[in-house]
Amino acid sequence: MALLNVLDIGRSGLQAHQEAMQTTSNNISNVNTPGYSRQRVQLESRAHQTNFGYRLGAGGVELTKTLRIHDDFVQKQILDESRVLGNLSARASVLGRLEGVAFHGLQDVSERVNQFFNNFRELSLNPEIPSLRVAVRESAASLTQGVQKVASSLETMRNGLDSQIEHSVDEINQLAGRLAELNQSITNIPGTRGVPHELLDKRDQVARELSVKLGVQVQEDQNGMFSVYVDGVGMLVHGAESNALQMVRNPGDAETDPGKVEIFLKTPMGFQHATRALPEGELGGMIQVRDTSIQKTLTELDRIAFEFSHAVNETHRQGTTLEWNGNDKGLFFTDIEDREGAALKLDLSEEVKRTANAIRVSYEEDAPSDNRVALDIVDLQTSSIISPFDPVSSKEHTVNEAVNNLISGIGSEVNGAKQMLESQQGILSQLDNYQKSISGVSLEEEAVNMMQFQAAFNASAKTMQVADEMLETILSLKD
Amino acid sequence: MSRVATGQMYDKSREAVEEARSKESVTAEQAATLRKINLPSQDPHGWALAKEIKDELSVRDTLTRNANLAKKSLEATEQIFKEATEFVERAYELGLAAIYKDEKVKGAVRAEVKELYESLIHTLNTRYGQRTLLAGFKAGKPAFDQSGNYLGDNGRIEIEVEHGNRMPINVTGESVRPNQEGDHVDIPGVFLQILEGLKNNDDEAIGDTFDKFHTAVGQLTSVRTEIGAKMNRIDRALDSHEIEKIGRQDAIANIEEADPVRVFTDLARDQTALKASLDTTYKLLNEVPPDKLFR
Repeated sequence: MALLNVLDIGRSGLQAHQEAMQTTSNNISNVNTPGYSRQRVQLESRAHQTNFGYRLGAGGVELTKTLRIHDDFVQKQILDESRVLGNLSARASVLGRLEGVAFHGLQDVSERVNQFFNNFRELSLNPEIPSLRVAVRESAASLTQGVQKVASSLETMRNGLDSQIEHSVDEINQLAGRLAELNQSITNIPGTRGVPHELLDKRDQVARELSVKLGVQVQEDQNGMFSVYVDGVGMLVHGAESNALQMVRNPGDAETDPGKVEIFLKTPMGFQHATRALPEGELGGMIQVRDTSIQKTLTELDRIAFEFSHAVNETHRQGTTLEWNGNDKGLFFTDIEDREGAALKLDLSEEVKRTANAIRVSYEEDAPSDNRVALDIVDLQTSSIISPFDPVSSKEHTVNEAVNNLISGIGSEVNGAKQMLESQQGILSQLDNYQKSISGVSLEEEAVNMMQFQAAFNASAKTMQVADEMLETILSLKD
Repeated sequence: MSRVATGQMYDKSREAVEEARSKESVTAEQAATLRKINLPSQDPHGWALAKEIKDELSVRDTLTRNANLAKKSLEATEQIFKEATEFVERAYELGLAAIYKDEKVKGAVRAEVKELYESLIHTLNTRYGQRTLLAGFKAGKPAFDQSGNYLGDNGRIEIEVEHGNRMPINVTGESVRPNQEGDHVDIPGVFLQILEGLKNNDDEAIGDTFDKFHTAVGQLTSVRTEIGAKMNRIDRALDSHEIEKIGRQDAIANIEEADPVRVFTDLARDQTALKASLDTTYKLLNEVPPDKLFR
């Protein structure tokens, strides 16, 4: 019955375009969903229906599959570039904060260094005036407080960064778990028309977030599962299984291991140390700033405090005091034995704290106008008394040069990180743009599709109506 | 033909507005502070250069203050030697007036010379603040006792007048005493000698002091010349500080300060760009083609 076949064909048209409308509607509703890839229906004409070798007529239409419009190669590039972006973004952000902390603090230290030497300069002009010794002592106290404050702020920042790292590790573990679940879900759902696209989009999105946060490598196996691993560390996600990063607070050996929080990858085979092996991603960026930039600033500040206090003490010790106390060692600053932590330990010696008369200005006893010790201390301002931070360099620095180098070094690092971040953002923006031009939903396009599918749906309904009327006509013939 | 997704349109608008806003905020900060560099990362090299100059200026400020104080101390020292010269010249004149005169005249002259001697010792013990100017390092006590004995030492009090460059700013009591070359005299001793001659009516002893008074005047003049030279050196250092200060402040301004004309024209440009970007975004997002299609 050809007319009945027409009804069947019309029904297939109604069904196919109704489903096509669902896809269009889904695209429209996800126009702003991050990571969503637009879908397109694939319509095919149904095969001719036959009966005992007789052709009964055309077969109508069927929606064979819904396609996910996606470029895997671009997605791979985005994952690769996201690793770098995550790293640069974290570095620029944390270094910016470091600059904020260190710049004002160290600039203040530099000014207090000038004030300290200038007060000694004034004391050298009038060594007989007691109030000038008090001024020297106060400026020195202010200098030690300034140095301690910067060191303490840097320590606080480093500890704060540890908390941030802990938070980031939690997020990474959640993402890894979610990705493993998505792997499982994707393989468990047998799609009638192919793979579940929304889950693939979600998995891509999670992989991207992981890449930004941890700098992972992602590979798809033959079963369509993502394996996620960190170079030099191990597998984070394998199929439906995920491993977790774990943190260990390490208060120990700060020379070899300056950070307090260490990161390990926990696998069924044991713990794999990961702290040093995370060159990319936000986590790697934070660890790099913590273990290099902040640590370098602290070490340099310790070196400056240690060598400056020793140089002043060495000159000061040779002078004579106005007020001899049997226990006096001739120290101006406390005698710091170890470079490590010297900035936090920098303080006035007990004798100078007790009385400003313990400040030694003269080499000769009973010679109140002998200002030679004060002048020799003033000379330290222009003397290269701070050894180079870079062991390869042989150039020593004055105190101010060392402090200024420290500030400008951080400035250069921030500047470099910001420029690299801008450049990387440009690269990723281009890739995102390209991906969106392929996978993004276009409302104009969907509106046209909608009209197209609506027209076909209406026409199919009309053919069924006409076929029905024709049947009515045929059936009425026997009356 | 490239396909444009709806999201791209919004992204582009967002990026354009963010970029325009970011540029405008940087220029606005420069306009508000009139500084090009507010953080080292904005120009690490420029910042380091400016900081080095500022450190140098801070030292120069103190050196200038010190040099001015040292100059005052030298002026006070010069005054000592000026007064001492007057005492020597007056004593010499009185000696000339008394020689070969009777005891009564010599007695009157002796009283005046004694006054001069006491004034001389008082002047040689002049204090500036808490320092006896001619006592060397031992400046907490008088430089000379009443018998004309020197109680100080030969300590040279130096100050830094230029960075790393010291100069002595004191003259010790040794300058009114005999030197190793033998061309100086013991000035208080000459006074004591003439007083002794006047007391003993000893014209030979009185006459013997005349040459010594001549030498003393030369000796004191030479010290005053030395003080003048020190003051000149301080003046030159002060001039140098002043010139350097102006030059270096200019250098800091060039590095750190924003050119107001440029920064405000830049600000106007960036604000126009921001406005244009906002207008475009408004038009783009309020008149999107899908609106017509979905109507």
